[in-house]
Amino acid sequence: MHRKPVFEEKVRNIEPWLASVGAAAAAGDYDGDGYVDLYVTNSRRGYTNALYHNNGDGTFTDVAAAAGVASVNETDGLSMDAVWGDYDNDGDEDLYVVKWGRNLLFRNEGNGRFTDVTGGARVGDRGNGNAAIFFDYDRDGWLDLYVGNYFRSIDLWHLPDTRIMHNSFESARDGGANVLYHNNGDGTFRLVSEEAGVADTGWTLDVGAADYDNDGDMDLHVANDFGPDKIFRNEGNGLFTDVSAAAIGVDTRKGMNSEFGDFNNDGWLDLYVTNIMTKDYLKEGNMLLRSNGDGSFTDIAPEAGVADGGWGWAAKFFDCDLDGDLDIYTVNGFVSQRRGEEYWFDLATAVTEPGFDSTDARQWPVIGDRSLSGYEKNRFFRNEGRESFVETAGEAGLAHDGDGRGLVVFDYDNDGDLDVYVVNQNQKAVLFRNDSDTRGKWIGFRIAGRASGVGTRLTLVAEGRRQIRDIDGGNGYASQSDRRAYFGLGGSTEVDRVEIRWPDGRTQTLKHPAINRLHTLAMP
Amino acid sequence: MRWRVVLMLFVAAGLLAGAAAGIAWWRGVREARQIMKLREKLGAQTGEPAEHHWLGLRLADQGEQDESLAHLEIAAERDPSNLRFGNDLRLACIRFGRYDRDIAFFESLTEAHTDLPEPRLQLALAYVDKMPDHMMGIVGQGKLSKQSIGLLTRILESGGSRDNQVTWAALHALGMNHLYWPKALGHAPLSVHAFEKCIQHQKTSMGGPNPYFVLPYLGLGDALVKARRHEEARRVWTEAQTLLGRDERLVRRLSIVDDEGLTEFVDETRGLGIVVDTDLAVLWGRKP
Repeated sequence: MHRKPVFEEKVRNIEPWLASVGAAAAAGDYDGDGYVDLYVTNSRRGYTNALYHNNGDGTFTDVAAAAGVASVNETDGLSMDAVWGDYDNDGDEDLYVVKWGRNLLFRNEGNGRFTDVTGGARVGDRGNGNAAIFFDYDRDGWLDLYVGNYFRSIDLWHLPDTRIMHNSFESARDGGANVLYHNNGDGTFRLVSEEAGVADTGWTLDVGAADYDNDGDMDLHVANDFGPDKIFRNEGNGLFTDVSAAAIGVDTRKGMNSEFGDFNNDGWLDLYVTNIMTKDYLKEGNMLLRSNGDGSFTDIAPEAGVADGGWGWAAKFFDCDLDGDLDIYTVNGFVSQRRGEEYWFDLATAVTEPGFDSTDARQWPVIGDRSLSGYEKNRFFRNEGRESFVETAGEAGLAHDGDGRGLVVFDYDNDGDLDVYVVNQNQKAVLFRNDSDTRGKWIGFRIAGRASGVGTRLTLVAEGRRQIRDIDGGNGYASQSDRRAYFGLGGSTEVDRVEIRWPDGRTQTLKHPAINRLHTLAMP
Repeated sequence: MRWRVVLMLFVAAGLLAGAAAGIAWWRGVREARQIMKLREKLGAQTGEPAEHHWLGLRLADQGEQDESLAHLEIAAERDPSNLRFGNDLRLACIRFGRYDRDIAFFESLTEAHTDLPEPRLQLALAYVDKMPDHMMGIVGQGKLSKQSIGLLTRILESGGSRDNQVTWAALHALGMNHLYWPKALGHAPLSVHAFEKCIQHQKTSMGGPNPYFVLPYLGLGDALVKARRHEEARRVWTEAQTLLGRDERLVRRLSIVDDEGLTEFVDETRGLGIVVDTDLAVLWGRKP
C-alpha cells in the first residue's frame, strides 16, 4: 500500500495535486538467484520502502529493513522513483532512489545488505526528481546516471513562499535542471550535465535512453510535463545535441512516460509517450512516435488507436501474447477522490483567466475532496499488425481503475511470459500474472557482464522476421522493468539466429538457439 | 469553308490570349513602377493611409514581411476606425505568423484610442488569430479567448458602435469565442445568447439581407447542438434557409438526422485549436 506525501498548510489548497506522485517500482534480481525482485517506494514520512524478495514460488517477502534500504523517507525528502544498476561492475545490482529531496545510492554488498554510498559517490542530487536511468553514454563500460528533475531545487517541506509551480501549462521551462552523472569507474561520479548539454529545465517526469538512430550509442528522450519533450542525440564524443524540433517537433502536452520499442518490427525504435486525455475537455492524447528511419518520428497514435490512454502515467511495450509484436499497456488516473465531483472545471476556469499566475500555488482553486480524471481504467492496446492496435484491457484482465503510476513488466515466475506489476498512488499495488500458453512460443536472454548489459541490442531472426530489443537502464515512468529480453515467436518453431551488438560495438551471432528457454549471454 | 472559319477562330483566340497576356504584363509593369515610386515616397510621417495600405498589401504579396507590416500598421494607425485597414493588417500577420506583433500593435492602438470600438474589435480578433499557433495548448487558447471575450463584452456594454457592422462583428465574434470552448466548461449557453443577439441586431438594424447574415445562424445552431438542444438547432437552420436561401453549410447540417452525428460534426468543427475565420471582409463583399 503506497502512502502519498503530506505538505505544508500553505499549499494545502492543492495538496492532492502535489501529492499525486511517488508510487514507483523497480525490478532487479539483487541477489542473483535468477528470480527478479522488486523495490517499491512509499512517499510519506514514517513509512518505509519495500524490497520484495522473490521467493521463486510465486510469493515475495519484504526484506528491505534487513537489507538496509527501507528507511529512506525519514529525512531529506520522500521517494519518487528507484532504479537498479551495477554501477561498480562487481556483478550485482545496486540501487538508486530518487526523491523530492536528496537522492540516495545504495551499494549492493553481495550478502543481502546494502550500504548508503551517496556522499562518497557524489550523486546526492537535491533537484526534486521524478526519474532516473542508468546508461553508459560514453561506452566506457561504466554505468552513468541521468536524473530527471521536476520542481526546481527547493525544500518542498519548508517553503519560503507559494511560488513553486510551473509558469505555463504549455511551454514551461522553469522546472529543476536535469542531472547527468558521469561514472568515473572508481566508485565516484562527476556532474557533467551542463557540459554534455542535457541540463534540461523542463518539468521532467520521465527519462528514457535508447539507440533511436541506430548509430550504436544511447540517446536520451525526456518526457516533460507542461511543455515540449526533448530528444538529445548522443554525438559519441561525450556531448549531446538537442534535436527535438527536427526529431519530434515542439509539443505543448504533458509528457509523462518515455518508452522505446520497435512495435512495427522495422528495425528502428519507436517511442510511446503518455499525455493526458479526458473525453469532452482534455484532448491531448498519448503519442506513438513511429521512427521514420532518418532520425525523425511521426505521431501516428490516433490512427493506430493508441491515443486515448486517459490521464496517462507509465506505459510499456511488451509482447504480452507472444505473437511476435509489441503490445502496449498503459496505466492512468490522476486523483480519485469523491466520484462525480471534478476539479477540472474550476481549474480550467481559473487558469484561463488573464492575469492568473500559475506559479503561485495560492492562486489555484481549492481541490478539497474532488477528483481530477480519477477512476480511469488502464488500457491494454493489443498489436494487430499493420500499425494498428485494439484496446482489450477488459478481455485481458488488465482494466484496473486504480491511480496507476509505475508499471513493471517482468517474468516473476520465470515461465516465459511477461507479468505486470502496477503501483498505484496512495493505493495498493496490483500484480497481474500472465497465464498465456507459452509452450513453443518464446525465447529469452539474460545479459551477464559489465554495466548490467545496458545498451546491448539483440536482433532475433526467425523465418525471415526480425525483432529487436535494447537492454535499457530503467525506461518508463516511475518504474524499471525486467532487464532480460523476451521475444514472442509468433508461430515460428525455431529461431534462425540472434545478432548481438554489445555496448562497446562488438557483434556476435548466436545460431539456432533453443526456444522455450532463457539463455544467458556472457559479454565478451 | 468550314476550315476557314475554324482557322479564323483559332487566330482570333490566339490574338485575344496574347492581348490578355500583354495587358497583364503591362499591369504588372505598371504596378511594379507604382510600388517602387511609393516605396521611395512614403515615410512614416508622409503619404495617405490608403497609399500605405495599398503598398503594404502589395509588399505582403511579395513576401516582404517587415516592410509590408510597417506600411499596413501606418495605415491602421492613421485611420484607426477603418475596419478594412485593421483587418488587412491582421490577415497579413496571420499569413506571416506574426501574432505577437499583431497583438502588441492593436494593444497599443486600443490604448491610444480608448473611445473607438474598432481597434478594440481588431485586438479581440487578433487574440483569436493567435489561438492555433503551435505553441498554444488548451490553457493558452482559453486565456486568449477570454481576453477576446473581455474586449468584445466591453464594446457591447458601452453601447456597441454607431457603425452597425462593428456591433454585428462584435456580437458574432463573441458567439464564436464561446462556441469553440469544450462543452464541459459551460460556454455553449453564452454562445447561444450572443448569436441570438447578433441575429436580432441584423434583423432590426442592418437593412436587407446580406450574404454574411447566414454566419450567426450557423453559429447559433452549432451552439445549440453543444448545449444539447438539437431540435432547436435544426429549426434555426431551417429558418435561415427560408430567410436567406440555400447555403451548403446549412444543407450539410440539416442532412445529419441523428443527434449523435450532429454532435460529432460540431465537436469536430468547433473546438479549441481549430482555425477560426476572423476575416471581416465578409462585411464588404467577400463570400462568407
